[in-house]
Amino acid sequence: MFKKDQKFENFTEAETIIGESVLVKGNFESNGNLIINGSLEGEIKTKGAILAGEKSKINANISAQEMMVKGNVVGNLNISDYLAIGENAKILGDIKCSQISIERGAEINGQVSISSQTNKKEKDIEVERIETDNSL
Amino acid sequence: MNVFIYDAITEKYKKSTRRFEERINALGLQGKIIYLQSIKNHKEAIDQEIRNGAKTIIILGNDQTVNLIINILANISENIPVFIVPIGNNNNIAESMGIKNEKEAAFILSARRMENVKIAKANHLFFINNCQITNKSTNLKIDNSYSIYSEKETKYKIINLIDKESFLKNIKSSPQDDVLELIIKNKGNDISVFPIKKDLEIKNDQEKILLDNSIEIDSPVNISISKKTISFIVGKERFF
Repeated sequence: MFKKDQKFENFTEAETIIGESVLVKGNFESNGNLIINGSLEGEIKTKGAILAGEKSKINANISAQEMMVKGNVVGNLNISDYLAIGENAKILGDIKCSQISIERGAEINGQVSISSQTNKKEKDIEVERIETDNSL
Repeated sequence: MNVFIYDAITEKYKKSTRRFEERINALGLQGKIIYLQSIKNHKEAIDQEIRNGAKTIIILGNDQTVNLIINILANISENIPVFIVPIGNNNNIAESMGIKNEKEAAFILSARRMENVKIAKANHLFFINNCQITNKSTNLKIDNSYSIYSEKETKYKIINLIDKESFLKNIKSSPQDDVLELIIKNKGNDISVFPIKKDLEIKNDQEKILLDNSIEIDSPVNISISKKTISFIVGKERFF
């Protein structure tokens, strides 16, 4: 586990929490952190961090500073800093971020673009499907 | 001059009321007493006392009494400090202000520790603590941006001044900012929290919305923070 991932393990200081039995539809904008354990359809923009839990079902384009995905996302992810993708995550959409970690078992369908803020180097990985294999 | 507003409930709880009066007399904080049940026009009576130079309004009663007086003060431009003396049951507002009972109330009043509290609005009525509704077919729209749905039987609570139940669950809410918090509670530990920065629209044809555990109003309801701020004399153990 990356050190940055530990931040999400103790992620309780959230301005917004979407519980398991709740569905949110529309454009969601915030300056704070967001925990999603339920469903969201629309668009998400926040200057804070997002933790999408294992039961989360997101159908939205997402802009955030940092994000950890453990559930299902259909939409493009534009993360200005760090993106962590958990072992059970399924992402269908393009990803832009500065730093990334992907656990074995995660599924990504889309274009992944990693642009480091410090050395200005940009890596583009064009893929139809990335599926890490946890059977190795 | 202190103006003491007595709810009819003080008749039922004579011992508690008497205990508070004894302490007030000992501290030299006496003033004029108004009995709500003997007044037809509450607003006119309170308006008159403010014109006569009332320095503090002291409410003896429960949440229902406080909500009644808040709805009068919200329509008066002067900001007279308010103090609550909890009498009987259903005293969530006093508890949130750090006033547990009538025994310690007189000492908190004499200390005059003051905090400004913003008052929330539900249609044309005001509330200070919270409003709530329990029903699965409730439609909610926040800040005209997004809607919230829940298929299960759900309790919705909109918090301005946090109560003990939410305080113990570590939910953060301040009556001094411009944000209300919507708490959605389903079975178990399934809790959702949404900040309301502009307004919340609630629609439900079956259930009424309860303000400050006191007044029920029909849907649709538009809820927001009002422009009115009231100074409250509070205890050290307040929840904000």
